[in-house]
Amino acid sequence: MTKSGPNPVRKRIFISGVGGQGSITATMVIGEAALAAGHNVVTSELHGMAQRGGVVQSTVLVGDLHAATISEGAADVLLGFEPAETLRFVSMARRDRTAIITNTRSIVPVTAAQGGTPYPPLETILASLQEAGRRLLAVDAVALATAAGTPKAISAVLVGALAGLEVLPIGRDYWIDALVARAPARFRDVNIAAFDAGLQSAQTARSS
Amino acid sequence: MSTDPLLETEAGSRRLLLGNEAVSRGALEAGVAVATTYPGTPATEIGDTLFRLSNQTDRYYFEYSTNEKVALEVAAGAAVAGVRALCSMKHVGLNVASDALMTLAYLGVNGGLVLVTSDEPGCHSSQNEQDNRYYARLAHLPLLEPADPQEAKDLTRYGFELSERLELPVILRMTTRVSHMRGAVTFGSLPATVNRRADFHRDLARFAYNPVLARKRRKVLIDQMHAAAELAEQGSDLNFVVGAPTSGTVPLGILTSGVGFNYARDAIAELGLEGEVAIAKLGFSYPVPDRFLVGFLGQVDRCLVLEEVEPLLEQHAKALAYTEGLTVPIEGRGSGRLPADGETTLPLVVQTLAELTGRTAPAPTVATPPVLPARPPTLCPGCSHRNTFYAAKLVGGEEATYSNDIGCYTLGQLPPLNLCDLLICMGASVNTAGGFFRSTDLPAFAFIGDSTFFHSGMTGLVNAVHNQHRLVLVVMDNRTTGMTGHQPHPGTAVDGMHDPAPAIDIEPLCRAAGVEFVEVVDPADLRRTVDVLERAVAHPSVAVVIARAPCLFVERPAEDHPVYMVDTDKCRYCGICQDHTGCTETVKESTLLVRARQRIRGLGVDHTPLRKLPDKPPVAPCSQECPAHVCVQSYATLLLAGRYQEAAWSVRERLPMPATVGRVCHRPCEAVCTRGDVDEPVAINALKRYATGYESTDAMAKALTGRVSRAVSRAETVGIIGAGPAGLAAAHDLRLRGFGVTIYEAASVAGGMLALGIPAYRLPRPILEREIAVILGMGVTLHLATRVGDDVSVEELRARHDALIIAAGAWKGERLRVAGGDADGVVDALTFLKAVNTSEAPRVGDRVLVVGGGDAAVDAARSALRLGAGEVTIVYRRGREEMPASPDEVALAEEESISLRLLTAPMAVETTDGRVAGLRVVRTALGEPDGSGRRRPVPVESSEETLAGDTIIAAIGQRADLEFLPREVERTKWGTVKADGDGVSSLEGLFAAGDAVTGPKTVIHAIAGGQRAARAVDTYLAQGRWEVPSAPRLHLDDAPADGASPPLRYKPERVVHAPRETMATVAPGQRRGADVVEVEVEVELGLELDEALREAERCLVCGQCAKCNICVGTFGCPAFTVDGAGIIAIDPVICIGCGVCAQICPNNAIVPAPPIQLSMSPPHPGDEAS
Repeated sequence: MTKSGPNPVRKRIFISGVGGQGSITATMVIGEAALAAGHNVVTSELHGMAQRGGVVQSTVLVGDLHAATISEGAADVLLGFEPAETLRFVSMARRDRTAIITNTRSIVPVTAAQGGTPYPPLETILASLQEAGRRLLAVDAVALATAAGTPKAISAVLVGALAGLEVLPIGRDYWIDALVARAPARFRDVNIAAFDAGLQSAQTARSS
Repeated sequence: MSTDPLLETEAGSRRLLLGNEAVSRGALEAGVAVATTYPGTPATEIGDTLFRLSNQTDRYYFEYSTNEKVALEVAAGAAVAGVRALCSMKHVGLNVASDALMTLAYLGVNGGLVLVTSDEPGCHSSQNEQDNRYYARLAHLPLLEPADPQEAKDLTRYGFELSERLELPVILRMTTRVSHMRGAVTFGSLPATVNRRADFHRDLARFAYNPVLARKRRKVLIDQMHAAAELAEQGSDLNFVVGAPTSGTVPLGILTSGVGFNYARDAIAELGLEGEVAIAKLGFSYPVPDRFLVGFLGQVDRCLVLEEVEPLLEQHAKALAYTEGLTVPIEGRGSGRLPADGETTLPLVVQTLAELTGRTAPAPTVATPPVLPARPPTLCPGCSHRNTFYAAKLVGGEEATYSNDIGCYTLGQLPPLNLCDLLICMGASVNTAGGFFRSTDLPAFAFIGDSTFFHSGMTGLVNAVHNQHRLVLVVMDNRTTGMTGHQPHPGTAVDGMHDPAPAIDIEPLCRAAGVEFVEVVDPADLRRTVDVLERAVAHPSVAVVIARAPCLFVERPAEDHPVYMVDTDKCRYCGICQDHTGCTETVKESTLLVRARQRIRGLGVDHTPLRKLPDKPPVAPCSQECPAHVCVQSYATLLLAGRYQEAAWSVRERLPMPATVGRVCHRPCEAVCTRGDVDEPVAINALKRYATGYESTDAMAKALTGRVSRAVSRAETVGIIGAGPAGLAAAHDLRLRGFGVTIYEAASVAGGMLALGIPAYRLPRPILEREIAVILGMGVTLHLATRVGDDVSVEELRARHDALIIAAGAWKGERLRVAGGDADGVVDALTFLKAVNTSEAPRVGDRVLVVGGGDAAVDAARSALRLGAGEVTIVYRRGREEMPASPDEVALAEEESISLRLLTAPMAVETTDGRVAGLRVVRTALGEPDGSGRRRPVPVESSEETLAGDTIIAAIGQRADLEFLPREVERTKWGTVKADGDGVSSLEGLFAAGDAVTGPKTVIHAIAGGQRAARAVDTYLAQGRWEVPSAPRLHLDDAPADGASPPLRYKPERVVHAPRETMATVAPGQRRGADVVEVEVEVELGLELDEALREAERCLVCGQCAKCNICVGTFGCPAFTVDGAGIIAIDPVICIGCGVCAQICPNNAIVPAPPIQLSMSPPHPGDEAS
């Protein structure tokens, strides 16, 4: 049976993205790091059609929590792998509570240009996100990942940004261990560099 | 290789596991020896975990079975033999396995058998949300329900013990939220060894089923379930109460099983209800432990039941309370306290607990996201299923039924493919296609994946062959079980143990079943796939087409695979739309599909992807030549597709009076028709007229008023002088643009030359009146019998309206300028025709001479005949070739015995007592071309003669009569308004259209002029300045710059010659109505359906489609991106280089891209660097 730990921590992380971006991997990394750091963890993922380019949503709940879902306005962190997908789940955020992290690199669905709803301009998205939470960290994860060695490492960048917010009481070693355990050894250094780039961006934003 | 954490033998380690992984670990801890499954969300990872580990340990045997029934039966054999067996499946899989389950419950097992079902409350990726707890009740089997991964592991392990203790299979019911939840799991130890070989004891008295045995075993089953109930009562770890009061009651109790427990605890914490709410948690939920439940109900004032899907525990608790005389209120999904459908959610539980305890649920103010572009799931970039579907759509089109099945190809139902007329369950496609075949006359297609074919498609195929259903079964053979994550199946060469395995080949299997038509195609070869599917449709019995291409996840494209790109210079638009409301998507889709079919069959310009060929000119010549740029190929293709109403709409898209034009147009389009280069031009106008026959006046009027109401309403109003074709067309377009419109018409009837000039035998008045009524119904105000200049001045109208359009026509008939030209009995054609058309039937003599060679001359001549003239002769000074009148009309006139005196010019009217007695004429010969480009008639000496006649109709020209216009409006030397091509005059706010600008021209010119003037008015009023820029013009630009001849628009050797269809006509003798004026008989009868279809087929579809988006709009590969300006591109990161889109691009605009650095395989969750 799941037991209520002695730790009073209750943190809810909501993650959204597009199939193939690595948001599910990030969910697992966050969960593993939190578990290793001694917290109770539950996570969930909804990705029935993820590999077909659909929307992927997942959650990580750390501490004395049992259900793996997050109610509207209850997220401590809204972590979006794609700007429109961050905005799609903006109701998870609360003005006075939620830190929002978003990748700024758009993946425009074909539907947007076929007479369907247009893809909003990035500035509009960021302005809406700015209003929705207590703070917004907008990261060009593709640029940081590419600088670290491969554009595929955006998941590590965004996990680093989450770590840099210090919402979750998890030390760097736990993050790094969880991160490298999830990827082939040859990506180890690239992933760490990407993680640190994300971490740095969060810390820079916090100190500014 | 380091040991997989799930194979750790020691107890104690704590790991984050998916609920499904935890089930697998629980089975390992229990020493499972045989595990079977058929993959299906949300149960898939149970089997996949055991598959992943199967080559790392020899503890168990694992297989992906052919289907769920097979899986359960294999597991049953093992469990009866005496080892522990696990069988897992998604909820609907248990329907397939239920036949085995119901009797296996009677027989029981020796070794433990745990049957895992994962249910889908909320239907995240399933076709229903059935509650499989019913199966435990139906079969009389114990049921376990975990709430989280730890419980999933523990209850699986316990399930084996329970199963052996009761000698019954045990059902473990998961739900999506438990299966796909990750949580910390503390491991137990693995047994040191697993005995995989049973000590088998034959037991015929127990396992050899027969009715006698069944009756005996049923009693045993009931007894065993009583024993199970006792175990449920005792299982404190399984069924327990949290927060029970030490004495008395708490205000609220929650009875729950499964994931509801998690929501209950979090909701209590969130609302601060600790101490007020007790939770009874059932992990062993059937048989329901009644004593435990009665004890709990005695501790609470009211009870809320939280359970997924159906109110089973709620109903049980209510019945129990009744039996026990308890009055505690019990509520849940059955009572309406909770919704009867969908998943339980945390906010729902919080809200419900708040209601029941008088608390206020927190309602944080949250932002609502704006409407964002949807991101529907789609077939992967380069997926072979898309190619197969596309080919089937090209073959079957709208006129076929498409039965679909369960798998990735289920996505064929999404736009733009839309191929799914019925989808029920695994294996249903071949059978539902049989049903369609037996109940419709349409070709029946069935799509089924390879894994699904083995699962339950084969039996249907045998049925279809035996019962002689005629259908095309398309096996989408991608060599794996795609949708669930690429598991092996009977057609793959590997099994669940990672061992080499015999791969069953579908092709001989189908042949052995008696299918004569079995073909294998590579769907990336669209041309061959289309060919084979066409032959399959034509085959008189079951046809199987195996579309074989490995899933891109199984055979990844090489890292350095080529990608394609869009050459934006070649990717283009026709330009027709730029000034109009635009093509409708349906028109486009049909046209594009026809084009793709042509392209794939090698008709049209040959676009071999890798070879650069001359561009096909963008717009068909007919559309360019037509002043209104009517898109002919769209209605031709829609007619062919059987989409008749849409064909009619397609005409109306650019032509506000299609049925009228379809009768009277002078058809400049046909003169330039590409088909004319092959044999004869397409009978374009006859096709147009045929299409308009499908218009419903009511539906059309409703649609147009709907469009008007959706237009942005404009404050400005526009006055139009003249209700002829130009004025009406302008009014129509201005209403669509939101302006108020008033027409001032001098005559007492609307229609201008259409009503007063063209005779009714060419244009029946009910048709004209209906088309005018539809335009007026759009909210146009019409003042009849209002002559501008007399009844109202132009200055008044300019003050009244924000803009004015002069569409007054050219109504002044030219007089015959010869001696005696004003004698009694000489009339100009316009006056004559107007009289004919206004019931003032003029008297004509017995011998009528008509001077002139235009349409008005022919109309006058034929009208005179209908008015009773005995002999009618057309006198024309040039030859037949030079006659401006439509040759068809001339031919009809001759049929009616009207004679032609060609090369004959009038000299003087001969009179007797001031009345016409004859016409003095002279023969002519054709000399040098004059200013009009036509050869000048030169009188031949000494050839004068007199033609006898008592009526002379002069049809030698007409002029605009614009006396009413202010002097400052500049005129041309012919007295018409001087205006640019858009009708912009020299006076601010004044526009002109139709004959008032061009002098006497045709209906289609007038309509186009009205449309252009409407656009110019809009531009003027929108920008508020008088400098109205000219609209861009569509221009024919076939000729290459170097002066070489333009590229052919078709491949001559592939065109099948076919004669032009002609309309039947009323026999000449029957063309006069009873009353020649009121009841005219329309002479041309229009095409019949078969004629129209043959004629439509003659259209070579030689032009580019409006705003071509064939790649995005009909093929829909996600590698395409379209920016805000509509520019189509291919994302090189997503493109896998299959090149199929290059096969269908009609412009040859998709070409291999130069090598680039970035290259990536298709997206794959969990595969990326983390």
